[in-house]
Amino acid sequence: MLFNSFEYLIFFPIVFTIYWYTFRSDLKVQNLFVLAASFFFYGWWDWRFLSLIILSSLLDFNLGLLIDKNDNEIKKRQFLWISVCFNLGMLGVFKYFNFFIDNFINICAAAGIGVNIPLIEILLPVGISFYTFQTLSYTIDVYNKKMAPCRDWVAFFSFVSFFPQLVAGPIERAKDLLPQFEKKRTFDYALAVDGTRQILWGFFKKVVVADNCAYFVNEIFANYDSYGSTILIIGAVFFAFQIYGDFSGYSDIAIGTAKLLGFSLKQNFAFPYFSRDIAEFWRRWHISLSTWFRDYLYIPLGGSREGKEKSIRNIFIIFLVSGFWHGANWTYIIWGGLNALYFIPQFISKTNRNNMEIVAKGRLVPNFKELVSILGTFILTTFAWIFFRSKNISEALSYVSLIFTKHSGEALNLKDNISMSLTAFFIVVMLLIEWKNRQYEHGLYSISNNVYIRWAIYLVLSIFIIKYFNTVTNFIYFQF
Amino acid sequence: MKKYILKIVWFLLLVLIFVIGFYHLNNYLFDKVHHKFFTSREIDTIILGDSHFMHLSENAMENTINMAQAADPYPVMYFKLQEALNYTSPKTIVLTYSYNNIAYFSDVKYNNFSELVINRLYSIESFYSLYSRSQRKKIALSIFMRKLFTPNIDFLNYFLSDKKVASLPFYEYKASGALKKPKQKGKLNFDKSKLKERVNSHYKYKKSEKKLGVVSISYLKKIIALCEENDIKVMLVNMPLHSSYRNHIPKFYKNKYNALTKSLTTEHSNVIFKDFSDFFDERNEFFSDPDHVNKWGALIISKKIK
Repeated sequence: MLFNSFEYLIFFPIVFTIYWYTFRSDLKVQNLFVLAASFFFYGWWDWRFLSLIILSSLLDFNLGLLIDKNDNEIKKRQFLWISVCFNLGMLGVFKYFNFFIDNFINICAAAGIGVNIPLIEILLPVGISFYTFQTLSYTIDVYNKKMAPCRDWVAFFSFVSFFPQLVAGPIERAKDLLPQFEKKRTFDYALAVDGTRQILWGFFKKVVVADNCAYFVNEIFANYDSYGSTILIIGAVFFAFQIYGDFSGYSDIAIGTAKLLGFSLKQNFAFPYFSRDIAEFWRRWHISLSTWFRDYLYIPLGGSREGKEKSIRNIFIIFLVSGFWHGANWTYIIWGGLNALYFIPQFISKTNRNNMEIVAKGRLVPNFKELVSILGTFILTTFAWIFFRSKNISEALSYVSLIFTKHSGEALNLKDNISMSLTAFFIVVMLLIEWKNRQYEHGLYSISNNVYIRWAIYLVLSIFIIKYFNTVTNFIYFQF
Repeated sequence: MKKYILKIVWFLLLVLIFVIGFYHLNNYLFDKVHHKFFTSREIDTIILGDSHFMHLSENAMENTINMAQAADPYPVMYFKLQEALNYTSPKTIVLTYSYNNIAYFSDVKYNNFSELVINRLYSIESFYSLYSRSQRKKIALSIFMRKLFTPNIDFLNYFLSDKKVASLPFYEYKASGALKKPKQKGKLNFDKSKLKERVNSHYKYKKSEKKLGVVSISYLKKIIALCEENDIKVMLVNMPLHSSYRNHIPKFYKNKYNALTKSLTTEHSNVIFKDFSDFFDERNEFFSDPDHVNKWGALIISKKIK
């Protein structure tokens, strides 16, 4: 089920009402209801793939208990590896099998060996990259004794399949989210109001900003060879805002929805386009994934403790793996590699922790240096996004080369020019509102003390959401 | 909890009031703009048609408006005319009437809740009758959304100036501009190898079958009946076709077309038929493609119609 669908607009109010009015008194029943609602939410897309979530939950729940019960370190480690192999294996089969086979065939062909291995035609289960990482973090944390194993299967299954963040994150850590299923939740008015605001803001970013950008991005990237550099640059910039609006919008709706049910999820985006350097950008973009890779890959590999060369190697690994996590395509790997190249000079010069505070703290506008740094960082990330968005590397390279060489090309028609300006206006509105709230959790956290102004803004945002509400568009991160 | 739900309900009510209010305001404005468009000019003749008619010159004919739009099928023309007759009383309707207008191809254009029809007619209430009750339910939201959010610059014109309303939600008016005389030996801008494909796309149903546009023909007859009721002459015009195109039209359609023409002109005293199909024959300079005259060709035909 999509957040931007009529089904969800019916589904959630029903869940909310039953959740608080019928099952409030019994925690176990309330969790069971969350689990049923989550399965229904996921099964709406394709009920057959529910079996994967159930299997993954069942296995990790029991492995967690076995790891805790066993005193033998080798056995503990074996149980952990079963969890790692199963979850990553599942990901490998559904997401990467064809990629590896395809590349293997190409390598063999280049070496003059003819190999014929059939590719499998299988649908990628929605959200598999998210929930496998979530449940993996649980067994790893139990193994590392960072948390006690969960003994309540309902709570554990609900944690793995919690519908607000099941299909596109944020990727929650077991030690943060699981305890919330184990203690009684009470309705918190302030949290609910803030959650509603966050949902509204998420919808605005997705429906108004991202979907409007998508119209141009799809057209420009599909016919990039007929456009001149100006349109190509606009295409890349719009994609930067499309992916931000789409994914951070999803996260806002997910976090806001969880708040309405009395849960706190972690912030996934902290206004990344206001970053002054790449290191700051990566502290603010898809935070739940970046920190997951930091804690479960970068640090176990040695992090930055084992000399400069090893640290640089580790940085490359997590950026490349992060790119590969997004999809089985070399474009994502190049995207990851580019970001590593941006980041490493900062790491070597030890400037990667220069900008830990929010930009222009206590000031209304940034100073010239900050503005230039923000723009510079945005240009670098946008350049990398071209690889992320392109179908293959040669398309990405052509796109980039045309930006520098083709100064004239087809023009957009008048109607498109008007809606392009309107889309640019929506982007500016989004940036202004987020700039005002950059020290908070989301864009609508604090808008105005005047209740009339506040409601007027909510009304205007709602009207635009209704206007552009389109149930056909998917969320980009569903495919990952 | 109650406080929260109450707040949400209040907010949703506010949104609902705004949405309903805006919808009704737009409905009111549609009516006003339609009214102003038709009453702010003398209208003796209305041209209704598809892309073949779009370049017919209003300037060449007195007190004429050209409401033709590319791909308009007869049902769309019918509802446009019905709406126009609410505000004005023309003496003549010049109506497109070519071989392709009676082929099944024309029926396809408004079938299956075609976006084309909804986009063009959403502001005209009467067009709902085109659909059954269950079909209407399916398109209701689509129409509602279009009515709710229709930024039409002419709404501003209506309130802010005395200018003539230049276009309507169901028809984008384009005044005819000055024309350059075409080169005497023009080159037909069309790949001849694709000619058969083009003709087939207009006439062949499921590649080989021939099928008449039953709904289109019924709406053609409805247009004639509507004009008869209102004492309006109907001039059916078969626009010039390049011989390369004309020669490929299946005989089936030519025969049906001739029979229909005969019955329409004999059964209805208000109907006259003008056949310009071979008027330019192979004079490429008057065509933009094999089945469309260019502006210059259209100007000559406009003068002929006058």
